[in-house]
Amino acid sequence: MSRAWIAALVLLAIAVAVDVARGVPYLFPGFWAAFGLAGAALLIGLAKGVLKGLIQRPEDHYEALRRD
Amino acid sequence: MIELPTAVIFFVGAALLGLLPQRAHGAVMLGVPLVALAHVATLEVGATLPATFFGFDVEVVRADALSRAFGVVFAMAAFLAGLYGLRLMRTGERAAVLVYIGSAMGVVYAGDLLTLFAFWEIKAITSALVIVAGGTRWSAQAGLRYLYVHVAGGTVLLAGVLVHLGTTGSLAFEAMTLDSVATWLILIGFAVGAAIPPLHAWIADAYPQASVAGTVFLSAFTTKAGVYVLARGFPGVELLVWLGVIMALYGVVFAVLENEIRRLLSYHIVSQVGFMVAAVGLGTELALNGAVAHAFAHIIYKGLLLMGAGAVLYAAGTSRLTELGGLARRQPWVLVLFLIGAFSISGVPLFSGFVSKEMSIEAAALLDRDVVEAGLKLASVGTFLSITMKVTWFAWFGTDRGVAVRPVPASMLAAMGLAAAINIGIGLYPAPFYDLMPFAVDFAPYTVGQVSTVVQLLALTAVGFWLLVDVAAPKRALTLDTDWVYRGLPAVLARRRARVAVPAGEPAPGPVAGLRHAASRGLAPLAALQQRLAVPSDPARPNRADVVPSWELGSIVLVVAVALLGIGILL
Repeated sequence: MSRAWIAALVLLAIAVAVDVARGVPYLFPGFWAAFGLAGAALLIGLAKGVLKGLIQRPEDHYEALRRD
Repeated sequence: MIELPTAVIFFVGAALLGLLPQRAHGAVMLGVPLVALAHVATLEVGATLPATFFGFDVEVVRADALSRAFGVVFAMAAFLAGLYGLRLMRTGERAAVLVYIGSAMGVVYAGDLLTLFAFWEIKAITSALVIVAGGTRWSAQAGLRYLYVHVAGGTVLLAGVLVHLGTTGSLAFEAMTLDSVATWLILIGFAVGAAIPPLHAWIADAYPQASVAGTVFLSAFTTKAGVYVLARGFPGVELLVWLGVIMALYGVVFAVLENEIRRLLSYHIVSQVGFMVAAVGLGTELALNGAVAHAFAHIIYKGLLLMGAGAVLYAAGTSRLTELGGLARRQPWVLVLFLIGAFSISGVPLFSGFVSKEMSIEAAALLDRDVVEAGLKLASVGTFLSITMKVTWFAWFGTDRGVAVRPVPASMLAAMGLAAAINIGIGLYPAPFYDLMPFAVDFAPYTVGQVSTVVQLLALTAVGFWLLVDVAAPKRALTLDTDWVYRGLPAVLARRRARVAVPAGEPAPGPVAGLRHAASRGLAPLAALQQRLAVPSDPARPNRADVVPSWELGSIVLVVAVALLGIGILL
């Protein structure tokens, strides 16, 4: 099912990708579609790839600190 | 309409709870917001209520277009959350909630800094009680931490107000610039209320510990009163633009990490308030309209989202995504209503967030602030990613873990339905909503360019989520935040000190032990109070109040003492 969803969403983005020359420079039609895809990958990568290892602890972290 | 502080209506409502039998309390919770809504809607712009307080000339009411927008939405939120909590709340929690809302109303109608401070502090104390009323020992601990953070923030605010009075001789609450110690202190005090990083961690720490209904109330007033005071006091301050963009991104990154739905949504309060703070910093009429419009819409859609999260917690006994999945068939209406909230916060066209959020982004674009515009658009990506996609997928679809659900009261669904209708109404026909803004609105949301941009952005965000769904899957964990400074650091230091100085098995001697002992004794009344406030409606969280660990209290007493010392030095 997810492949069908992906195809439908990409087609939707292509259908509405019109060039509007204002604001953040439009380098090519569909700039914001690429921005959305890259942004999603960046945020997931930053959170799950970098921060998870640095700042995630077991749920009882603070209780464990107090018990020690 | 008489120029009575709207706060009084809520305070009288709280008193009525003590006088009327319990079966009438629901009517009070619904009637008081309606009376307040009629009052704020008819309070004429320009109305004032001057008074004298300890020799100071104060203005208890100062009604203008800015305060009216907040007053109207506060009354609406009070009604929606009151309806949602109709079958869930006990008398103590209801009374705390009414005084809390009244004090938030007091803040938005305060014409001077002294009145503002008085209501600000009542708000801090009563909102802490709402958290404590969550009924677990975690609620008591988080409520205390929340109280001390806000008391510390309030102390800095008071210091700023007093220095401001001393140097300018004025208590008037008007637009300020960051050109003195006083205005910096006032800004820091406001920043605690608006949850501006690094002073934001109380929100994800405390809000998820309140009761199912309590969290819905909390989400509406504290941070939005913070946005109001920033819009009134510091419009056009450049620092706020950057703090706002940082907030907007900070909140969504943490939301991508979060597992518990109400904690995830709390980070989205930080993120969404970031849009408002950035818009306040931009300072143009369009930007300030954008900040107020987004605060208004946010109160309604975030209320709806937290109602949905609460409905899951109430029905399934958990709101951890790792324990949910496949609820769609068992909770179809909650799913549909939650999705309306999710589309609203994500700024999908035809929903409220679209007509409010795009105003701030457009304001940045018109000022050629490309980095600000791109930062806010990236935050929009993260919002859609972590709420509409992640929460919806892992709670209602994904792996069906066969969680049994009990039906939720009709009043909860009715409140969600009404909030959803308001979100769609604002999205479809924004004209009356725009009429409430402080300046005449010269903005058309439904242009080809704007709709195209948002549809492209969100469609491919969804694609990104599908492609990385396994990576984005939530994990059961605690995410450390800046609250580590007062939650983790004291324990780490105490452990280090104990290792160095005290032989194993012996208690630590000296003033620390004395403070701990005194604090643990002092907490007994709090535990008793919590028993009275506690809500027994949540099956997952037994109604039991344990004594709050004393080291936390000790460390927080220290923070307050340092703050008071700071005032002493400044004066």
